[in-house]
Amino acid sequence: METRTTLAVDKNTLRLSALCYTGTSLTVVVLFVALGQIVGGYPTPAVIGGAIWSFILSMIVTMPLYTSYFRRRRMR
Amino acid sequence: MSGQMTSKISLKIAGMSCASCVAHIETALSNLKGVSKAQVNFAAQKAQVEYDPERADLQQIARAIEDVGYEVVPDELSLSVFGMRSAHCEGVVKEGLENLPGVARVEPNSSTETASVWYHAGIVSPAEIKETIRDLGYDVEEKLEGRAALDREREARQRDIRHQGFWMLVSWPLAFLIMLGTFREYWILPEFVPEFLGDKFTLFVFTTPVVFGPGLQFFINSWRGLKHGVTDMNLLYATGIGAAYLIGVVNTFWPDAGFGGEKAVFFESAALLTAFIVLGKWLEALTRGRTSDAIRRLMALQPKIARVIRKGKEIELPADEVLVDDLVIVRPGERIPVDGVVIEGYSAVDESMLTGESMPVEKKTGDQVIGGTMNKTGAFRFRATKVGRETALAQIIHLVEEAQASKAPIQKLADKVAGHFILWVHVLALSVFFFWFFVGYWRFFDPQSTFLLTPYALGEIGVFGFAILISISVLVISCPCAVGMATPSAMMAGTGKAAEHGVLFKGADAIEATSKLDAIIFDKTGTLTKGEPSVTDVIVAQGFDLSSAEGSKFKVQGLEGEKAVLLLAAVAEKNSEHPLGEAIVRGAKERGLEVPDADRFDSIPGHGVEAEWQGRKILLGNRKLMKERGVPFEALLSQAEALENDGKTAMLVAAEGKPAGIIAVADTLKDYSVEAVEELHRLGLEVLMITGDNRRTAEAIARKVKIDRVLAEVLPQDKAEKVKELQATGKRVAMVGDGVNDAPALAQANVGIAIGSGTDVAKETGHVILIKEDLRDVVVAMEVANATMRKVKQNLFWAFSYNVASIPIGAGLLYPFFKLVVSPELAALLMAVSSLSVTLNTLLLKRFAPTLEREKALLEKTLSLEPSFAGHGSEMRRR
Repeated sequence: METRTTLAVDKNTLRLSALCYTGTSLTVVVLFVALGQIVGGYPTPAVIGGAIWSFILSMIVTMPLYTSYFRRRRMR
Repeated sequence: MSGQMTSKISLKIAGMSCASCVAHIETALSNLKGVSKAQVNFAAQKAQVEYDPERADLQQIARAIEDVGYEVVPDELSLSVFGMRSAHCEGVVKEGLENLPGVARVEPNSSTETASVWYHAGIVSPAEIKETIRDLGYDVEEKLEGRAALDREREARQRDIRHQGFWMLVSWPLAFLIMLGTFREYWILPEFVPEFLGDKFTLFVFTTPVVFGPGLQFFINSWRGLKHGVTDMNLLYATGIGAAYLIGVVNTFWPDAGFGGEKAVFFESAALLTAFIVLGKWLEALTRGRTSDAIRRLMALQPKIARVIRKGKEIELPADEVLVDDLVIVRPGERIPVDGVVIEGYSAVDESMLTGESMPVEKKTGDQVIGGTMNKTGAFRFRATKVGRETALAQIIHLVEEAQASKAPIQKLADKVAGHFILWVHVLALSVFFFWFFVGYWRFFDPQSTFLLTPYALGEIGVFGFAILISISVLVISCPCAVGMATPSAMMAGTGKAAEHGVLFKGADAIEATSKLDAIIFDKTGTLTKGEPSVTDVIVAQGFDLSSAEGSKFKVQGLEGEKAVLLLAAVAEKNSEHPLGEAIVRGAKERGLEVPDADRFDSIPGHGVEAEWQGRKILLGNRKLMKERGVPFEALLSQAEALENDGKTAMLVAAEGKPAGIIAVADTLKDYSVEAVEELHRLGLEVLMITGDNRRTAEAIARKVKIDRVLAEVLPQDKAEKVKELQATGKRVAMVGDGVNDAPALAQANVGIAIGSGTDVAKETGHVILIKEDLRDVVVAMEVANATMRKVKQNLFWAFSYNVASIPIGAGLLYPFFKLVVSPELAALLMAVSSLSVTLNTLLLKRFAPTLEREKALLEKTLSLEPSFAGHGSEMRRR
């Protein structure tokens, strides 16, 4: 019998939040690439570099937001 | 399988008074969905609950218990969290721990690098809590008390200084070489910088150990934070350093990849960025301990060794092993180990380190001595009354620590800003990147312009390099360290400075409230006045003289008129237990008179006393008594009235049926009451006095002290109401009282100042505690609070100004107009300077001296100069 339990954070919560922040970050990347195509004239490495940088920053921004949101929702 | 789905917890419960409570709680828990078993033990005050974690959780269980009127009590764990130095780190620790099942509340404090954690022992253990903190990237230990804590804290700080100092030694020489290599083609450098130093592979070789040596800590710490879903300042550094280094690597090994080519390797950005951040960390570690010097000095006062008599033998033992009632020996020059009462010997003790009183205090049999103070001249023995955590010094240290760990309301805004800042900085960095990538580069770009502190012509680095470097600069320049440390560092310095002068603020909120006061109410008895009546005037009736033929019957010839009248009154009152009578006897003794016993003594309730001494009658009492006994006092009545108008109690003395004189008794002002009120007026405060006395007496005292307003005839239980009435007029009010009788009023006031608590500081009501019975310390408290809040506001102003000004500059706002843009390394330098400026500004508070101390120093200086003036004077006279 388990004597301790993970009440606040379970794997489902983490999985769901990971799905959301990765999804949002990828959306930002798609938006970046699309904008690059619309504006035009960018060398491919610049678009790839920009996409990677946008993804990293988006992950950093959205990861704590989604994680704490889902944790709060789980607690309620 | 089902067993695996069940969790079991044990909760401590408060509020159970009888066995029926057990049933209440058990029923409430059993009704909760998901709870399979609830067993409450009344004796142990505990509940064992088995539940399905999928259907119920701790919060619901706690709420169910609280709903039926009981409380779930968590255990408290005090931790030292090394490395938690900003409001953001506080957020990281708080969030990280609060996500841990079984943790009820977390109160982290970055200024003291401590955290209090309330947890349910059945669910989570202290070891798990500590492990989680370590996972977040901080070193942690259970908080130690007293000297051990001091030693450990100093050790940790020294370790940090050594650690960052070592990385400085690694990063700065390499960064310097990298800078020389990068700028090799400029100025006069080609003449003496070897060519190989400018080679991109050499730069790569030099930069790599900087990034993976001193810079590695930022990557590790930010990864630990990210694992728990939290972002911190390390992430700002790591993304900045990492991005600059990676672009450098790509452009070195794959120059055709399209990221700016081999001319844009950015290695100097990565190296200088790391070096500046490590410099900032090193300076921070150097200065961090300085703001808490006061507490360190207090802790250092705790003596290590005590000399105690046990079984008739004098032995030396550690001071914390002294027991209550032990006989302790103290020799000249030794520190007193614990609190106690002198039973033998005489000495002068320097208590300045605890009370701020500069003059040594004489100690004789029966006097109290305070542990930690310094014995100056003689040797004495004392009986220990308080030891360990009970000593005054331990209580003072505890109070100062608590105050330093608390948060002022003004800090909330700063915390809020700093706490959410990092996230918004990343949002801003992303927006800035988008803007310069898609819009700014095409509209404003000038290929000839350069970054400040970089050699690249921007034309060489291309759109991606340009946009990402501005984005990195934003990340680095926006670091809110200065905002986070502005308030707590000043509060720590302020509470410490106050403690040096014998003023203990119970929290940072008390400092802030004290600095905003409009009015201050003094309790009269025991606060403005000494609280015990004493003889103030003796008036001799015309024609009365003990040495005259009439008086000679008393065989006290030779006494002056006033002394003679006082002696008669004292003889009559010698056996009285009335406070006025005691004051007269004490007054006579103070004037050197020996007071013999009366032959007969009768108390006449409500009138006075009648006594017989050496066969003659003495009467002492009010007008009514004299009138009834037919003593003709008409000639002295006007003087008696004048005394009463001054708030004194006039008692008439008659001998052998004839008027002898009047003795006036009154509660006298404490030393420095007048000066204190004068100083408070200078600070712009309205000063009031509250008392239960009649208005005439109260106003007489108020006139002497120059009180603005008198609240007279107020019963003790109504004092709080009067404070409330004053607050209702919109004034922020402080109440100064003795902390026992005035407790409700002290609690009601915006700031309750308990005065003269001596060694029992922990028991006092009130927000501010004055150790000495010196009213001028109220002024000291006000001045320290004002100085601290001034410092807080300056710090916040500089910190916010820095961020408000630096972020737009970092984001390239000036580029369209001046073609100037901040490089990442310059951003790191600016960030380090902003934190340093706030810390240095706080350290200026150490130079603060209250008016009282400044005047005293001036007076001493003048006195020390006087002999030379005198010399000049006599010389002049001789000439």
